[in-house]
Order: sequence, then structure tokens, then C-alpha cells
Amino acid sequence: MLAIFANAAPVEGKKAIDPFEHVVDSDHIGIFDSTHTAIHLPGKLGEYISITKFPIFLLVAAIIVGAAVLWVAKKIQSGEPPKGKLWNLIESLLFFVRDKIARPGIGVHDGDKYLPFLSTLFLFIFLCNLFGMIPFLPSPTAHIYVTGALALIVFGVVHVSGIRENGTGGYLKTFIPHIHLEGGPGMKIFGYVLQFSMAILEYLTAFIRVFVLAVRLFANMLAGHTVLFMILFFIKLVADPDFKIAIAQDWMYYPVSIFSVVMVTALSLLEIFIAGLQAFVFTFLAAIFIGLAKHPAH
Amino acid sequence: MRYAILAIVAAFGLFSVARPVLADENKMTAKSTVVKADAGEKKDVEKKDGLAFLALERYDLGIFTLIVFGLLCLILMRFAWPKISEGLAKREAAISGARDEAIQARKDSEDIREKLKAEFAVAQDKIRAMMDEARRDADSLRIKEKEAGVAEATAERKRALADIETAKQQALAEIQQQAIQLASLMSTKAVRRSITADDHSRLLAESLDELKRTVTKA
Repeated sequence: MLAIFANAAPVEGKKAIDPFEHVVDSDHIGIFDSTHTAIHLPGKLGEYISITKFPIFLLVAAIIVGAAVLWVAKKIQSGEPPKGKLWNLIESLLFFVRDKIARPGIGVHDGDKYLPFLSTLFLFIFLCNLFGMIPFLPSPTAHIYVTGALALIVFGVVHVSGIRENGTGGYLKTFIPHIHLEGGPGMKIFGYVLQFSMAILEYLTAFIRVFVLAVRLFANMLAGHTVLFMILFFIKLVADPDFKIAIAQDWMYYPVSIFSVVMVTALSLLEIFIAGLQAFVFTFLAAIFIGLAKHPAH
Repeated sequence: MRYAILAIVAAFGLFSVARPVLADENKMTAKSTVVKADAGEKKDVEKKDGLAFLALERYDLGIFTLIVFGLLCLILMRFAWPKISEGLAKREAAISGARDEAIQARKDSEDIREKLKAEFAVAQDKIRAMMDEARRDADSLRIKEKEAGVAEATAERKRALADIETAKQQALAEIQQQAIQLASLMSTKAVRRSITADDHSRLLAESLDELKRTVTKA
């Protein structure tokens, strides 16, 4: 459905539909199209620095996560049991990461060691994802370089952990599978070829895993918000002369509007769930990769 | 349901108001690009914008993310997690202490309960013994009282029998005396003569015999 509208050849004289306009990074935060108002940001400053939506909200997410965790750390330091909604909320999120991500993925002892990294990762991604669900705000995780950078950090942590645990040589050997084939020289050669091929695949997997990690989060966030936009955009497609499609009739305005609003409401609820789920998946896979690097299966 | 109806009505109202604005939007300054009528230009725009949404030229976002997240991790690891670990250790110690205290209190209460149970059992035994003793005392007292009563009653009976016998002898003596007098009087009246002392004695003896027989028969 998205593809139909995205690739639909615009009618001459009509405005082109850009389904990603509200999802991608830009130098302004739009406040309703119909009001034509926007908060303008500095944009590009020099050749390398850009003050746009995503960097600002990455920074906001980092500040919120940092402030929240520092605040709760001070509270926890007293040794008192948690009191109040906010304290309970933040602490339950931290313990959720410990009990459902770090310990199952890495193990009880090592899991607690990686808890600071994993909990920061989870909270940061979760908050970045949630920003997209607040009207007018962007989700910085809808950019491949943001998720790529996070995946790169995970890549570093995974392999550094593996090397520290097993030594460089030992860690590199963990990628080579043990294959033992009974038989003559032919079978042995076949075994070596198989071992070599699988080792190459395993080495490639180390990179592919992280790439997939980045793409999964980026694609989910981008697609989710784009779908929400497009479903709401149906109203313009039947009512706005600038975007009205050929098959649109005047009577379609009300049913399409109701359908769009109901669907967007339902999908927004789903999107909130996905915001948490994707943060969980990213962090959980990071924990599993760390666990596999520290304690290889073969 | 009421809220759902209100929401639908509100949505209708909003659309009714919003529609003219949308219709007039083309008169306002639009940011969106107007597709050129020229086919060649349109093709160029599409080609250039194919993957534009990915903004692959924005390397700075990746670097910025690395810096921001890296700094966030470092700050939290340096300033937050030691405190959290300390607090959790304190909390663990407090919970552990409370647990130990609870276990000790439970043990103490179990000991006290056992002690009370033992004391209660001893008290029960004492009560049982006292009850048995009291019952025995009561039984012996009852028997003693019964025996005393029987002895007293026997003595009373004997005394009564003796009294009866005395009274009987007394009564018999009186009767005898009166009988003699009566007999004397009667015999005097009957024979109209004076009788001697021997007659009196004889008559009296006869009368007494007669009287004894009569009493015996009665």
C-alpha cells in the first residue's frame, strides 16, 4: 500500500507525496501542516556539524536517560526500598534489563558486569523510539547511521569481551567449527574444505549480525512511522486538491477520515509496543552476542 | 461506548472544520515541491530522490551517536552504577538482615511455643493428678461419711431399742401397779369382804399372769 502511493506517478501540477518527510531528519520540527508553523533549527553549521532534529533528540534522550539513572542511583544508594512511581518505574526498567536481558543472555555473574552498558543501551533506544510517538517529535532511531553507530558499539563490546575472555588467538579460533569426518584422505580433504568454508561464514556472521541489528531497528522505526503517516495521508488523498487522486470522490472524505483516524490510533498503540519490543530485541541480541563471544558454544 | 460516540462526533466536527483549510492550502505557501510538467526533469528528480530518505550523506549522525552514547555510558558507569551497586548491596544486606532476624524471631517464637506447650502439658498433668486426688478424697470421704452414718444410725437404733425396752418395763410396772390396785378394788367390790394380804398376793399373781398372757397375745 505504501509502495503504491510512494511510487505513484504524481499528476501533473500536483504536489509530490513524500511519505518520509515527517520521519527523516530535517532542520525544522513541523507543527501541523495546515498551520504552516514549524520550529526552525540551526541546520548545517560548517561542513561537518549539523544541528537538526535527530542530533537534538539524541542529546535530549541521552540527557533524560542520564538524569533519570543518576537520580535513581542516588535514591538506590540509600539502600531504602523504592518509593514513588518514578523511582519504581526506572528501577523496574533497570531490573527488567538485568533479569530478562543481561542474566539470561550472558549469565548471572557476567550479566551483572554488563548491566550498566546493556541498561543504558536499552533505555537510550527505548526513549529514542518513544520520541517518535509524541506528536511532532522525531524518532532518531529511524536513521541507519544512528542504529549503525549503536550496533558498532555493540560490535566493539562483543568482540573485546570475547578477546578478553579467550585471548585473541583463542577467540579467533572459536569461529572455526570442529568437523571430524571418518574415512579416507578424500573425506579428510572434504572436511577441511567444509571447515574452512564454515569458518569464513562464521567470520562473516560476526559482521552480518551487527549489520542486521542496525537495519532491524532502523527499518522498524522508519516503516512504523511512515505507515502511520501514510494512513493519515489518505485523508489528503481524497480531500486535498493538491494531492487528490483521480479515483477520489467527495463522499469518500468521511469514511476515509474515520478509517484513517481509527487505524492510526490502533497502529499508534502497536507502535508504542514496537518501540519497547525493538529496544528489547536490540539489547537482548547484544547480550546474546556478548554471551556467545565470552562463552563460545564450540 | 458513550466516549466512543463522543470521539466519533468530535472527529466529524474536526474534519468538517479541517476540510476547508485543506482545500485552501494550495493558496498558501507550500513547502512541497511541485512536479514539473517536463518529463525529463521529473525523471531526474525521481532518480535523485530514490534513496534520499536514507540520508546516507549524514555521517555526522553516526559520529554524533557514538559520542553521545559513549559519553552517556561513561558518565553512568562512573557516577551512577557504583552508587546503584552500593545501594543494592546495602539493600541486599538489609533484606538479608531482616530475613535473618525474621528467621531468628521465628525460631524464638517456636522455642517459646514449645516451652509453653511443655509447661501446659505439665500443668495438665498436675491438674489431672489434682483431680484424681480430689476424686479419691471425695470417694474416701463419702465412704467414711457413709460408715459413720451407718454406725450412728445403728447406735441410735440401739439406743432407741433400749429406750423402748426401758419404757416398756416402766409401762409394765405401772400397769402392774395399777392392775393390782384395780384388782383390789374390783375384788373388794365383788366379794364385799375384806380380804387378807395373802388373798391380795394370790389374786395379784393371777391377774398378772392373765395380763401377761393378754399382752403376749396382743
